[in-house]
Amino acid sequence: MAFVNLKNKEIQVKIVYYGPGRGGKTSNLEYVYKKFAKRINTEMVTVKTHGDRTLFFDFLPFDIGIVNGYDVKIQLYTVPGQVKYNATRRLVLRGVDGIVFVADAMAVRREKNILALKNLQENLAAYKKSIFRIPFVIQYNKIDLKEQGIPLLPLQTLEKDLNSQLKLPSFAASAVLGTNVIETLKRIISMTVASIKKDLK
Amino acid sequence: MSYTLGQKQLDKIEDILKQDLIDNGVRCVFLIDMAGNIVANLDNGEKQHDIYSLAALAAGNFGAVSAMAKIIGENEFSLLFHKGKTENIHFNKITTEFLLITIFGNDISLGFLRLKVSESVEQLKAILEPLVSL
Amino acid sequence: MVDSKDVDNLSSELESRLDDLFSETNGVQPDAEDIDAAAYYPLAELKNLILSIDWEITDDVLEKFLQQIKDLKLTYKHDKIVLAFLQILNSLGNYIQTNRAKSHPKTFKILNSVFSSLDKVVLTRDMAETARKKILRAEMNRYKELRNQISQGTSFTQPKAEAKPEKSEIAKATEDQPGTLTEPSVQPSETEIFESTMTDHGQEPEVVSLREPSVESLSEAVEEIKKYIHDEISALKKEIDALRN
Repeated sequence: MAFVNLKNKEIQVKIVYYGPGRGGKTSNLEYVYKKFAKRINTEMVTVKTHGDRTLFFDFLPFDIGIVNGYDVKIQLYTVPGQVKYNATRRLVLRGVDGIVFVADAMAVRREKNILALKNLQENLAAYKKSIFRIPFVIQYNKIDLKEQGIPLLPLQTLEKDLNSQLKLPSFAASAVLGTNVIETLKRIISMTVASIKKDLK
Repeated sequence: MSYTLGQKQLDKIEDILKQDLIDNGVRCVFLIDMAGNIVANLDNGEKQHDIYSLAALAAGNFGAVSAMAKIIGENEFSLLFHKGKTENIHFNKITTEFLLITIFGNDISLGFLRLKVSESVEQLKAILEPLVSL
Repeated sequence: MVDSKDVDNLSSELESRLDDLFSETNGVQPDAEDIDAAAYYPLAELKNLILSIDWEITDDVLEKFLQQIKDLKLTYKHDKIVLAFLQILNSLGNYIQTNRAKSHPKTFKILNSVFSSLDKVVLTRDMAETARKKILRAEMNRYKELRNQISQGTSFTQPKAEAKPEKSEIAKATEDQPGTLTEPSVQPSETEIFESTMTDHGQEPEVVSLREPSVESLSEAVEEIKKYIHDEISALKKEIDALRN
């Protein structure tokens, strides 16, 4: 739930990167952190396993500056993607204002993408939130692997699998190279802030 | 979905936290929501922590511990407190949506802190409860 | 206030248990074993209660604490030094019970410190009387300092350069009325006990019931509140009637 602080003229917003394990959620945040290191004064918090898998969450707060007289502070989180961490995913989703679904474009991950989306829908429902009504953006990540000859799902397939009903803004991206990472982020931030403003009225 | 707190409410919250806790030797206190947003934060001027990370982790920690409680058949735990060599952290829920987190040294006894926190929580409830019914 | 009936019952039970213990020549009966354990470390229960207070302050724990002190006062009625320690603990316990969250934060540190010293005095066999007095004196000084801080309304944090107006007001108020305590139940009569113990005149130290004065002032306060509520309700009733007509 976004928090509007009238005293400090501040809006705090929570955006969660969700998706199957090893899909690139953490990589998205790492890219943003690297790119905006000068602007982000805090460290990125990562709670992960020895094997470098996200265990609890990654966290990256940053200030996007004054918008309409309000200082907008964004908190980015990722969830652990592995199936066994569902309880944790649900925790991290608490109070979420906007979601980026990071799908894995690799052909072998097709099933996992669909399951992860379903899982998201269930976890949101636990908080009486609907996947159809929350600010939401889809990212099809790992397009850079095409160069390496790894079979990827065509965009049409991905759209059909994941976006046919939702009809969300979608971006083909490469978190590792940074392609469309910032664009994805910009889009979800503006959608989320717009939705908060609507609430305020 | 969002909630708003006005100047008056936030001033009142800060007053309560200052008088009940900071003025009684608590090093740092912050009031957050379960999403990890910081509603108010005060310290005694000695040390500056990375409160944004603390808030995110605190919310996560509390959430994780609450989930564990449910698994073992408890509705909730009455005490969540971490003891360090020189610094300690205490968590207290306020309504279902907020958390009061206090960081204090060994010069305050836990028993006394719990009494003070209970008092603060009662007063803060009055301000925060109307928001929860959103 | 000490209920003499309870004291009588307790002492007679204690007497009979001690008789049982010392009449046994072989084997150790379970009862005697308990006494043995207690005799070996008589402060065990008190220690538990002090640790509990450190962890959580409840009516139950405070009641037990004060009761335990009463019991120990009997056990140690011939030891003036230990009695003095117990009286300090008693006073602190009463203060906490009355003031709860409004207690001075240092109270708990002092409570632990006094107990720790008492523990040392009790457990160290053959401690010289002078050494015992020295330890007691140190604790008494800490206790007095706390009492002074309480009566001056000193807050826990050291006043910074930008001292708030409220604090100087409190200091001023207490300056005008020396000896006025902002928190009750810490009475000057303790110094009398302390002094009589320390000068060792061979007299029994005055076991002044420190609760009495504060109970009186408390009941006065309660009466005042009752009267106030009664007056307010009458006034409200009148207003309601007036509105009805």
